[in-house]
Amino acid sequence: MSNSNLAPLLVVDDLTTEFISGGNALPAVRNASFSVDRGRTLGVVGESGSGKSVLIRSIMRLLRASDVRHRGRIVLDGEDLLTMSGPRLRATWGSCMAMVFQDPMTTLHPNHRIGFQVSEALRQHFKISRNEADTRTLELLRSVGIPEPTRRMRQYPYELSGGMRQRVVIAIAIACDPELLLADEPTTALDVTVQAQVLGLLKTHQSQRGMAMILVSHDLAVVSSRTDDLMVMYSGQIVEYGKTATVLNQPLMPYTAALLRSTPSIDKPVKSDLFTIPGEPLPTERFQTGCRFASRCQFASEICISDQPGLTERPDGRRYRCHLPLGSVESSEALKVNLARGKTAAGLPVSEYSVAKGA
Amino acid sequence: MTLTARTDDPPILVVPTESTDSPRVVRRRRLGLWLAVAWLGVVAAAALLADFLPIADPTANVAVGHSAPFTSWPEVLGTDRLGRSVTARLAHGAQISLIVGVLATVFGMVVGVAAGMFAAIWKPVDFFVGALLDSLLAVPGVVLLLALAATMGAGVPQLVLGLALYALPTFARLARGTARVVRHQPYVDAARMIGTRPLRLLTRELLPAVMRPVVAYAVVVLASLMVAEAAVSYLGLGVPPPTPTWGGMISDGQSSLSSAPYLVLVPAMVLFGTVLSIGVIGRWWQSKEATA
Repeated sequence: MSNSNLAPLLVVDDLTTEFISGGNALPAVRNASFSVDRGRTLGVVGESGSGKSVLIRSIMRLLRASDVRHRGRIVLDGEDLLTMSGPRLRATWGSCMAMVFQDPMTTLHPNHRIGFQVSEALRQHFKISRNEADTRTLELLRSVGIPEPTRRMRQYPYELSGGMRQRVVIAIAIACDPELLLADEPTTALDVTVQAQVLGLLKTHQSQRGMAMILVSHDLAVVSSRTDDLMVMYSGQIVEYGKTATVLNQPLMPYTAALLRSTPSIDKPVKSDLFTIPGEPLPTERFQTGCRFASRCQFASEICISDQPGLTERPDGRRYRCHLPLGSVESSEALKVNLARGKTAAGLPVSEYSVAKGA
Repeated sequence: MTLTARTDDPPILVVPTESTDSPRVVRRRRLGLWLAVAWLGVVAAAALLADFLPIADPTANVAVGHSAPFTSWPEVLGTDRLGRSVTARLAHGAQISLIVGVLATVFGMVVGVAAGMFAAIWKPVDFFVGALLDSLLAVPGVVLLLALAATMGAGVPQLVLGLALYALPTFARLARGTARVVRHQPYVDAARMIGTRPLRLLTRELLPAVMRPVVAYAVVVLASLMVAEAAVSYLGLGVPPPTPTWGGMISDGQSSLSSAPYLVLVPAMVLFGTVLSIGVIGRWWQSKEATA
């Protein structure tokens, strides 16, 4: 099946996902291209409505064919998921790729026992007896840190806490040893104290089993310590991509930098204002001639309004979508020009104060 | 780091429970429920044991002409126009009433739920089933039963078939509606994402959720079908005489309504009590379902 273990496990090539609504095609993900290597973790960050979830759901082929249209290719282990037949796709789901959903309150069936739901995943893909399935279910529940797994197997989801339920969801996802695990904001619905445990659990299983993982989050802290690579999305586009540490330490796209500055820090004085990005994100379906972030960007100059920036790749693999990448001479020149005229080319007011504080 | 800290409580709808009622109302309602269960128990026992109880043959003439209840022994409930034991006829009639009611409800439920669920999942089936249900609904129940009796004769199987067809559209609609809501639940997507086959999705994921309102509703349907059965027997389209049925007894007694009203009153009261009991239990179940 696999050509070579060196080839990336997942290759997403020029993927556009559009929702079909009343004859109109509304793009939610625009021309996304990236790849994930075996055993590596890719973080995807971006604010609400940036297309993170749609991207994940496109890869998972979770969106209904009647609602969406995909263009491009999503190649998992040499096979294009977008042209896969129903039965082939069902064989792939669970065993080759699996998903951990956002809200463990609603992803478990309320009328079935925990044990049944976990062993169900096993019995879909392996020809094993009920007893064997039960034994492996027990091991799985133990491995995701559920105390008293024998008792839990006979319980219903409502008898478990949110954290415990998400552990069960993870157990189901890893039951058939998938090569790719997609986690769509797996801790958003959980208590802060439980978040770290669940993320740690995901990370442990990911490295133990050599799975590749895509971790979607709007929380930079969540991805910063647990991913190898980081991808930033804005308004349906990939705007920055690179090794997590380099992207966070040295962002090239002003949006990434602004996102980082918007994070509350424990080192700052208690009453200090939180940096905010002015304006509102451009809806993914809206057409824009220039850069999709231009209207909110302090660096925006004339070229940002007239020309759409492509995704530029540096020799070191860093990719960014910006005419005036941070740290470049052009970037500081543009800011100087904007400060001098008091506003950007897009009309956003800029001053020394707003540069320091945000809007 | 994140600002959204939520509790571990499931985000379910807050439905006001019975706590708004005073304890007296709750106690009275519970008494009603127990009375209903007790009455149904008596009727079911009579139906099951009709052949073994020390009662007369329901078709044999044990007396000459009718007699009022509580005037003779052992025929406590009196005898009908032909001198047949009312007790025996009620007990044997319960058999027909319950068998027809339960079978028709179950058939209507099984076929209706299957049709409704397939319709909820597959568009072509939806169109076909929808057209079929609409044409079924367009035919009044009585006309449907008349047509069946006219073409296939009168009898228990025809009665069951007719009443099942009568109840089917509502079951199908209820199942379709519920399935359409449930199929968008994240747990159904989650089940798909572990490679669950469509048929298994239908039976394992959707069916349990669909059956909850359906079963609660089925109890109410059972009550209405028992009335319908009596009505059909009353019209002479049900089980042919001399087999005793409740509706048939009411119809029979009608001719002597002025001289012996009890011949109508007694079976009518039994039917009323039974239907009321089933209704009470059904309501209780539905309210329990709504708050669950």
